[in-house]
Amino acid sequence: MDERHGVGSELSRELSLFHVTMMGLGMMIGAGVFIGIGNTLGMAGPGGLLLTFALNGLLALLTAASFAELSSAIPRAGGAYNFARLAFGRGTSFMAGWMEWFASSVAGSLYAVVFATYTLEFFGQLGALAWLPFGRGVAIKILAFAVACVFIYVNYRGSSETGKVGAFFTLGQMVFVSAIAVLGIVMALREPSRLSNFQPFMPEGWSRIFVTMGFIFVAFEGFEVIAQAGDETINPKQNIPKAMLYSVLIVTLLYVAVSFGTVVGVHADDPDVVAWAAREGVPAEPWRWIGSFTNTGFGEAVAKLMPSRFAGTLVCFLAVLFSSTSALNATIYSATRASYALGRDRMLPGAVATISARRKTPWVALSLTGGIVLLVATLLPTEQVASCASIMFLFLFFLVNLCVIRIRRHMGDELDYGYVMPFFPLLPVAALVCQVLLAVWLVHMSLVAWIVAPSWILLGSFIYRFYSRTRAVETEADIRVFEEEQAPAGDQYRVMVAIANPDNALSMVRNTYVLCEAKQARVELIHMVPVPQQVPLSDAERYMSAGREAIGETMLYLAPMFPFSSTLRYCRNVARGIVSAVREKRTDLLIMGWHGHARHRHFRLGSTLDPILERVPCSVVVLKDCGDRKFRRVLVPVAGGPNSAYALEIASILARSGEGSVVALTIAQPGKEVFDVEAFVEENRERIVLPQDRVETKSVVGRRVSDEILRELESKDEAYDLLVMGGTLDPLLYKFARESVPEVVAKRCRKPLVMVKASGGIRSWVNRWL
Amino acid sequence: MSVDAVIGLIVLVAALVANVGLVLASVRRIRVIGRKKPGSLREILQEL
Repeated sequence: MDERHGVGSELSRELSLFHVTMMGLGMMIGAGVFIGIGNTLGMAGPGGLLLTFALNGLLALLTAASFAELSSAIPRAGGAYNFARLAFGRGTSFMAGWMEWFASSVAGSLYAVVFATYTLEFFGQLGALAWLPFGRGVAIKILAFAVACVFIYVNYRGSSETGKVGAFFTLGQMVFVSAIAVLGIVMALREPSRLSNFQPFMPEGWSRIFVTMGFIFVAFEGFEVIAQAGDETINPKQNIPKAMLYSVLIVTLLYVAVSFGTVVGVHADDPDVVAWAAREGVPAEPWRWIGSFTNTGFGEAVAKLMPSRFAGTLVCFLAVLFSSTSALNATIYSATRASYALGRDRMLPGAVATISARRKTPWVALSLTGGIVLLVATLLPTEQVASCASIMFLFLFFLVNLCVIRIRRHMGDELDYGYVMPFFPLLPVAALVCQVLLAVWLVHMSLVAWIVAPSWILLGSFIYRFYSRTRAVETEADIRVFEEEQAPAGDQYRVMVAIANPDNALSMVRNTYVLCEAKQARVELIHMVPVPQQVPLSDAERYMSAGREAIGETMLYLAPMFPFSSTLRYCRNVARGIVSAVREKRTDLLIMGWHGHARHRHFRLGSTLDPILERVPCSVVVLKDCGDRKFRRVLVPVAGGPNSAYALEIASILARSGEGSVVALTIAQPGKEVFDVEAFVEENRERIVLPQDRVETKSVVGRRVSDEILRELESKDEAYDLLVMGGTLDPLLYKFARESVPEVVAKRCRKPLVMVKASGGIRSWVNRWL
Repeated sequence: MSVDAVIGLIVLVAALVANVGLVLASVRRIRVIGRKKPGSLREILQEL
């Protein structure tokens, strides 16, 4: 809504679930299926054809689920470009837009070539091409060039189908394609002997299926444009994800049915098949015959399904006419939008976003897009064009699957989802693995694709590195630094103290002092100032007075002792603000306070602490009720692992300041192997800063670990004054465990408590990146 | 029928069933989320 002039405006929501589903279907049922069937049959056989479409449909559905989740939570138009900016920042966002531009343009080239192929096939049947002075191949290129020019001009004129009119066109192409499928199925029911066309089922084995899946993956691109209609869709949070999923499912079932119809459509005793087999010296199998036509194999098979060859070619021509032209128009439009967005955000020269004064269309972006479409359509053979389009979409969808994982983990709690995918993160991870496999296998089909696509990506990286990075327009940040005082640079151990409550800031920092002294650390104080969504971050000064007090007080205390820096930041979400500060400042240890309970039952330790513990890439120490005191006897429950070792180290540092001692406790559960606590302490001797005589070990037998720890802590004989725990604050276990031992103990503990989480290892690296 | 063909048919049926199943499960989730007030991801997942 634009309220700059006091008058609100918004697009009227007129597109229903039916309209947006049709929009996705219209984009998908393009050229891929028409050229895919003949080529795939020739390479993978009849069973391989069905499997190729079914498995590709599943892979597309996994990515559609990612798109659906992201679009339901981030309804702004922009698709992958927008998701990547939110998830990874400007560099990756540029690459998403750059890849989308090329992928859509190459898909446009493919649609133009397929349209030309089937149109000439039809007119060839009519005998209307005898006058041509050159061969069919040249004619295809010329017609593809011409039809692409027509649709580039159509886009320049700015006339495009609206969602409602487009739905009727899509319905038309679906009727033709479905008719072919139904005819094939009816024929198989009437003559079950035609099912023998599926023998041998997979003559070339499984490896060929990966090749053909990669090759025709382009047949499943298009559902992503549904997200662009978010502003005009009725109830977009529900209808956009539904439309994406429905369109992929419908198209998968349709492709499998059409493939089935194509295979059974040709009779094994057909004179053409028998004559061809005799000529080639191969068995008279329909799939071989269809496959031998490669790009036009689908048309040949359909011709056999119809009463006459002319009728078959006509049906094919009409199906291709409807589908390829509407898909060509839409892909040119989509590619132009992608390049226009790059120009608008100054990732490419601003001239790219120039709007025609007369037509109000981005004519420079359109010209560049048109150049790519024409160049690829003219210079590359059809199979290579399809492979290039497929591989670019595989790369683009790979990026979106990464985005969905990162966005859910980093800012899931801030977004208002209309759909969250099941089995997260297994689905996007499975999609990532499959996309890598298909892209790698595609090298067997097209070396050109493996030269063109990475070259385009390298060119994009080069442009971003030397042009876009410094010129890109800043968008409104979610976190804004208000006051920052830098500490002198150095390679010291960095400790960040997050101050939330000015009342206990000083006591928390005094405890921090002990840790910082032991680590020879540099201290960074940070106070995040949450600003409501309704208030622009630029108007947020009114929220910062409490933060300034807290920082000022702690600065006065620490100034004579440490080199330190302090930061006040405005943010929408405190947890994300702290995680982002930790990353930026490359912090080694984050220290936070905890009030001792979660205010909402959906959180374990608290709405701020939970996401920080899950995402922060450094070690964390959480203090509860520690106040300003010295500790004489510290209890540390240990069970092995890096967190226990880190807990021992922190406990020894805290105990040293009070001339205290540490007790390493293990709970031996009946029937389970007893953990050797003495050996563990010995292993970590170097990390413990206390003399040997001030570190004790103790083993207690009990059934419930948390109860035994609390009983030991409350024991009057021992007089513990602090509990230090490391534990299953691990994000992976955290998701699945109902309630971990540290949580139970932390919530029931009535004495001062310190919880620690150690960083390090490959898992930490993965967490940091995702 | 060869072993490859049997495995191929099983995979084909499984892929189609997985397609339909995933869409049905997803649509159910969309309905569940649509019925409740907007909430945090954690609350949504808890409900589901």
